[in-house]
Parts: sequence; structure tokens; C-alpha cells
Amino acid sequence: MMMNADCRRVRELMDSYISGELTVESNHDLLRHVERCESCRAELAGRERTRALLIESFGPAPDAGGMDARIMRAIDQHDRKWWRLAQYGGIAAAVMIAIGAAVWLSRPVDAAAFDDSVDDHIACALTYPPDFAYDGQRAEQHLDPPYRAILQAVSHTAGDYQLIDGHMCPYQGRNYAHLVYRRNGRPLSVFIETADRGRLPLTHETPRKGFVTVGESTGRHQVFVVGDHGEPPPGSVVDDLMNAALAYVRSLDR
Amino acid sequence: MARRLRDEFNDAALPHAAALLRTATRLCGRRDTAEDLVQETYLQAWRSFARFEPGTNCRAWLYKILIFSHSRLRRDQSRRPVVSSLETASDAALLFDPPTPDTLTANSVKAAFESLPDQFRLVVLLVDVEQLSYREAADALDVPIGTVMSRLNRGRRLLRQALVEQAAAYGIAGETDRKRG
Repeated sequence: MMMNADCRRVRELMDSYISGELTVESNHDLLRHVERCESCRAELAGRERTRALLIESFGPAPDAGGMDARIMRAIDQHDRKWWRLAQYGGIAAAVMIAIGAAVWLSRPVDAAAFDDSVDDHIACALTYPPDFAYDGQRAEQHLDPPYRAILQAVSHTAGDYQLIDGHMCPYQGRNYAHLVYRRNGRPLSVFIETADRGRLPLTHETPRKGFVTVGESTGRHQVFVVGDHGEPPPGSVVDDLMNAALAYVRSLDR
Repeated sequence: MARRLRDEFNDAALPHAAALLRTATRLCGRRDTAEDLVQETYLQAWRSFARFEPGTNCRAWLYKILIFSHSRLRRDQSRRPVVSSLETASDAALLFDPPTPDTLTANSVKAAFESLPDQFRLVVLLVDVEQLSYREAADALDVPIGTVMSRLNRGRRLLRQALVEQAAAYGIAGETDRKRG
């Protein structure tokens, strides 16, 4: 049988009508058509019956008694497990932190680290002649192999300071890699050494002999920046040089 | 804080346990597997309940987790990719929308339903059997509502086609057509 356009349109809408998803207007249109069209009325009844039989075919809904209790028990067990894990995890983390702190605090303290850096600054950096100029080849030759690349890693100009030399600088049993900067005849030193003598003291007194020093440790290395107290280098210069040197020694640490 | 969250979860989610168990039983075909699936669904829901936005549709959210968990379960069991025949099925379905045969039984309808491709069967189950709204079904399946409507349309046509074929096999389709004609 050939269907007319109305019937085709109504049948397109029929399933949505049964699902209650049609707009009020479409609902009315469909019902008006079904009222006068026997074929569509039969089709609608057939589809409703199909839907009812499909639901029936799955049988009655299963008895859900006990499901709620089962779910709550499962969630309780899950929570207890996670609570135990969190407790054990917390205890384990606290123990690890305590052990780490004890190990760190039990390391010997390199009490003279700051003072020695100032003293070497006085003994070495202050003795450079006024007309001393930077020679990259010479500086590279005078640095031990692990420290040579620092000449490329740090800026040769920091604020008004210019790099004038780099060399290994043995002092009081230490072996500093020493970078010397200068501004208006006043030097500024960057010292790098391995942290063989222990950790840096938690506090240190400044200035010493008219000079200030800032020190940082990466664990395996120590870095100091030493400048005049009377005419201190700007903080940004100290920070830039310290950060560049720390980044370099961290690459050595790895 | 944790107690309050748990109370909120119980209030929002537990009332849907029976409906989820019913759907899970229909999806799995076995009561024990269905109970495991529902329990897993609620555990998943509880783990992510802190991210659930109050006021949104909790039932659709739970159905979404249920369907996801069921798909994963089936994947784990079969270890085979699910091959979708959506295009072939849709082409065939769009060519012809047969009238519903007169002679139907629950068994014949169930057999026709079981013959539907997975994606059509799932959306027909959610909307026609579990009576989720199109919007809820879209949320549960994580697809646009237009996709739900399209799959439903195709799924229902395929269902009718399968019923007509069954009727033809028993020699009653012609009679149905003549009656309507």
C-alpha cells in the first residue's frame, strides 16, 4: 500500500510520541491524524504493543533487596582500605622525612665556608692589576675540566660588572673555581667548590672585613658571591650570578 | 566532612540502585554478574562523587558509569575489538520502514531485539525499556542527543524489520500487509 505524505510524517513521529518526547503541538497533530487514519491507528497500536512486549520479554524487574546494603558494605571496605593506606602512607612519609632531616643535620658543618670565601676574595680578586683584561683562552686553561664550560654558562656582563678572569684558586685546603668580575676597579667574586667539608652553617655573620658574601649549596657543591660591603653589588647582579652558577653546578651534580 | 559527603551520596545515588540492577541484569543476562557490575558502578561513582555537580542528573551519571563499566567488562572478557556495523545497518534501515506485524509475542520481540547491532540495542534498551529520556540517554552514552535520536530511529526500524522477517518466516507477513492495505 502507498502511504501519503501525512502518514509518512506521522510514522516518523510515532516512536517519539510513545517516548513522550514530542512537543505539545506535534502531539496534537499526531493524535488528530491517528483519529481519522485507521492504518496509522493500527500502526501506533502495533508499536505500543511492541514496546510493551519488549519490556515484558525481560521479565519482572529483579528484586533489588540487599543491593543497597551490599553497595554500602563495598564502599565502607573501600574507605577503610584507603584510610589504612593513607595512615600507613602518612607514617611512612613522616619517618622518611625524619630520617632525611636527621641525616642532613648529622652532616658536619663547614663553619669556615663563608669566611674562607671572603678571605680568598681579598687574597686573590683584590690583587688583579687595574688593566687586567679578559682572555677566554687563558681562563679556560686555568680552570679544571668540569668547570671550563661555566665560562659559557654565565653572563660575562652582570649589571656594570665585567668578567675579567676565571681560574682554579686553591685556598686553605679548598679548591675554588673562581670567576672574577670588576666594576670601577672594585672586584666581585663567584666561588664554586665541592661540598666536601659538610653542609653550610644555618647562619653566618656578615660583613667580614668589609665584604659581604652570599652562599648557597646544592648538596654536592657550594657557590659564593662576594662583594664590597661599602659599595655592595646590586641584588639583581648577585641573584643573576648566583642563579647561573647554581644552574651550572646542578648540571654537574646530575 | 567525609560523613556529610557520604550522606549526600547515599541520598542522591542509592535510590537508583534498583533501576541500575534491572538494567545491568538486562545487559549481562546474569544476576550475579549484574550485581557485581552495579557494585563496581557505585564504587566508581563514590570515588568520583566529589566531582559530581549537585543538581545535575544523578541517574544519567550513574547510567554513564554503568555503561562504561559494562563495556570495559565485555572488552576484558572478549579481548576483541567491538566491530561496529552502524553504516551498513543504517543504510538498510533507511531504505524501508515496514509496518509492525500484527502477530507478536514477547519471545519474538526479544529475539528481534537481540538481533540488533550493539549500539542500537543499547539505546533502545535505555529509552524503550528503561524509559530514560533522550537527554538522559545522551548523557549516559556520552553522545549528543541527535545521535541518540538517530540511533533510536534506526534501531526501531531494524527491530520492525526483524519482526517482519520473523513473521514472513512463519507465513503471516503477507496477511498483515493485506489487512493494512
